[in-house]
Order: sequence, then structure tokens, then C-alpha cells
Amino acid sequence: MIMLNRFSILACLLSAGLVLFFMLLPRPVLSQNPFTSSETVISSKTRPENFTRPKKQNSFLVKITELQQQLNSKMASMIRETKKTGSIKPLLTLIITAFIYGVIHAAGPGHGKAFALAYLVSENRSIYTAFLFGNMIAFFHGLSGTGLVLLLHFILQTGVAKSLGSVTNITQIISYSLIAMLGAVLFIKNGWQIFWQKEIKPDKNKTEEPEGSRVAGRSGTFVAALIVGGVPCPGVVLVMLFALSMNMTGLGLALAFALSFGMAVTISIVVAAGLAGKKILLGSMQKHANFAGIAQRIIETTASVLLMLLGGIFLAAVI
Amino acid sequence: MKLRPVLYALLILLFIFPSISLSHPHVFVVNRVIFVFDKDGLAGIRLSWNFDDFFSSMIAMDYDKNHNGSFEASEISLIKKEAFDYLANSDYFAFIKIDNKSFKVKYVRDFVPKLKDGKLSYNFFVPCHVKALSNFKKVVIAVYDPSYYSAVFFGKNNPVSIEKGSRFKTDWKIAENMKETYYYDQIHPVEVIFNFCLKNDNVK
Repeated sequence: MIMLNRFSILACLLSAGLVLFFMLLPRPVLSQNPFTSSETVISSKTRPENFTRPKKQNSFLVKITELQQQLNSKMASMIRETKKTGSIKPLLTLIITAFIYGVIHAAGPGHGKAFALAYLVSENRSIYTAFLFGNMIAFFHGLSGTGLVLLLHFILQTGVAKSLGSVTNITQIISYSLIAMLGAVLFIKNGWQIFWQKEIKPDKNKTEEPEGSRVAGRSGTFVAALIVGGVPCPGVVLVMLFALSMNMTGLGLALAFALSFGMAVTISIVVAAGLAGKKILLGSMQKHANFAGIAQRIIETTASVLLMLLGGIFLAAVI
Repeated sequence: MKLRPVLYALLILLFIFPSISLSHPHVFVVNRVIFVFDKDGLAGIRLSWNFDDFFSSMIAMDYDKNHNGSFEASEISLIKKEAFDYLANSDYFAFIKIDNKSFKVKYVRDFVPKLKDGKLSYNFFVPCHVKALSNFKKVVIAVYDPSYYSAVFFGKNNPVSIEKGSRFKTDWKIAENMKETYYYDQIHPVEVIFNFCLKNDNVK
């Protein structure tokens, strides 16, 4: 059993504080379209009569929202122009615009960035894996949106507006349940290591992802990315639908790909930056090898608890 | 232990974790507010929303069944039922205060969806009776989606207008309410602050 020193007690308190902070977070606002879904109800936290104190607004969110509106309008005009003139001239500009839209779109709330980061931190993955994982999440997110539109429009021949809400809800329930379960499994694994591993030192080999665990690691990363990114992206759905309304399915697919690629850039950078934060933190403790080892285990266990909690909180919001 | 790397690490984590939430704007709405008067004072507020092309195409594909570029009565009733009435859960995005007291929007009427050149608009009336007196009454309205699935902006041209208001003295301004926030304390609502009273020659 490990001997706790003052550093590890502090780290334990920090972990407990973080967990408590996330437990006290309000239930998230549902991601359903309030026009077409009965699920969206104003929560007590968003009712205006509950506002009590002045707050500073998130200027970054406001700016990227305005930018998205402009890009959205620009993309629609260019798609109309392409349809009207039959010219492929605006195509390159259109694809670049869709890519930028994706970059900015994923910079806003959501898109699984928090889940991805919690998973990668709890598993002690490399920065390379973080980039790969971020890319996979974005492409699964875009692919599920594209697949959903094509399935509903061409095969089931049903309205997308109404079905989008129910399909999204089902995928959210599956995704968040699996995320919570994944968090629980990682928590047990990391907790086991804390209490039963006799010598605690920073696990450098684990960071390198040795050859033996590479195949299992990669398939695990693939499955985790599928779980996190499986919920269809409404942004991709709406772009696809607009292209379909113009009878330009091919263009819709190209734009969905460009948009997903843009989201991949943002998600990858964010999760890699988060993971780098952890590595910098542990790197700064190299002189205290024992403490660094304990800190690594505590960070990983806390991240797995966060993953479990986030999955649970989001699941509670969608069922 | 060096402190600078720890600070960098904490900054990176702080940057990432506040973004834990689900919704973000997917629908963009340009909003216009029309204050409608009757003989006694303010009768209510008509809201006119113009939607972005992508959301417009989704509604048009699903509800313009005969693809004639406009909505007939049966199509309108289906849109109302499936793509408008649910907004009651979000107070129709209309958050009103009369003389600094909250007024909950329970119902609306005269809902009219239109398609023009493939672009969708919704118009509807929010009944909100406020009797005009000799001194000014203040009505404040902020229009926003609390879930932030839709981002609502004021129109650049004629964001506010007044109907049948010739008997009344009116003034208005649009301002960001710096004391309030929505969507997890992240956005300030933008409000129309509207004042009105009876004109001197109408005061009994």
C-alpha cells in the first residue's frame, strides 16, 4: 500500500474538489432542436427570473456565433450560385468555406471534446493518439450525420426534421450510456493500480504505447471514438439537406467531408492541448519521482471518474 | 517543483473544461419586433423571424409537400403542430418584462409561416395588454433561445416598428442587458426597451 505524503494528500483533495465541482454542475441543456422537439424545456438555470447577479458574457462564443452565421449565409449563396450557373468555379472557395465553418463550429460547446479529453487523460495516451482520436471523433460525428440524412431521404423516404430529433435522442442515449460505462471500467482499472501497485513511478512506457499493446490500444481508441462521435452532427445534417434540396448530393457529400475535416482540426488541437497540459504537469515533477507517480495515478483516476460522471449527467439529460 | 509549467497546464485545462455542454447554434434567426396598439394601449407584440437557408430547406423539404414554393393551409397546420408549437416549452423565445416585472408568454396567435425564394419566415403575435396612461409604461422584450440551439439576431433594417400607435407617445432603444445572462451565464440578452404613454391631447 502506498504511503501518502503531503503532496499526495493535496492532490487527493484537488481530485475530490474537481469531482465535486462536476457533480454540482447543472444538467446540460438538451441538444434537441426546440422547433421540432418536445424535449427542450427551459431549465431553472436559464429562466430569466432566476438571474440574480451580473455576469460577464463569453465574448468568444458570441464572436464565433456571429462568424458562423456569416459563413452559413456565404455557403448557402455559393451553393445557389453553383446550382444556377452550373459553374464549378466557386467550388474550391465553397469547400474552403465549409472547412473554416467546421473549424469554428467545433470550437463552440459540444462535439465530444470534454469526453475525449477525459478518456485520453485517464488512459495516459500519447499526443499522436490524441490527434488520431480527435480526427476519428470528428469523422464519425460527420459520417453519422451524413448517413442519417441519406438513410432518411433516399431509403426510408421520410421527413428529416421530425426524425432527426428521435434518432439523435436514441444515439445520445447509447453514446452517453457507453461513455459512463467506459468511465466506470477505467475507474476500476486505475483505482486497482493505485491501491495494489506497490511501487508508484511515472509510467513512461505507457506513454510510449509499447508494441504489444498497440493493436489493442488502437482498436480501443477506435471504439471509444465511435462511442463519442456517434451522435449525428446537426451542422452536417443541415448542410447535407440544403445540398439535397438543390439536387446536389455529390456537393453535399464534399461539403460534409470538408466540414468534418474542419471539426477534426479543432477537436484534435483541443484534446492534444489538454493532454499536453497533463504531460507538462507531470514533467515538472520529475525530481519527485514517487510523487509524480502518485499524481499520474490520481489524475488518471480523476479523469476516469469525470468520464463516468459526464456520461451519467448527459444521459440523465436525454432520457 | 517548477511553477510555470503547472500554471500552463492549469490554464490549458481551464480553457477546455468550461466548454462542457451540448448545444451550440445550428439555426440562425433574424428577428424583428413590432409593437401593436389598440385603442387602450399596447395590445401585444408581433415577432417576425427570418431563418437561415439551411434550416429553411429542412422545413421546406418536409412540409412543402407539393413543392410549389409556398405553404397551403394543411401544410401550415402541420408546421404549426410539428415545427412551432413546441416553442411553448421555451416561452416562444420571448422574455418580456412590464415595468420590471416578468410577464410569462403562455400562448401566441396568428402564426403564419412563409416561404419566399426558398427562405423561411415565421410571423406570430404575442398578446400582452398594457393600458396606456399619462405617465410612461416600460415594456422590455428579449428574444433568444435559452438552449442556444438557435442564435437570434436583430435585423439590421427596421429591427423595431410600431403599428396603430398614432395616439401614443413612444420611444425605444436596443441594448445589451449587462446584468443578465443565459445559457449557463455565457450570453447577455439583447433587449428592446420600449416606453409609451398617452399623448397629451388624449389624456382625459
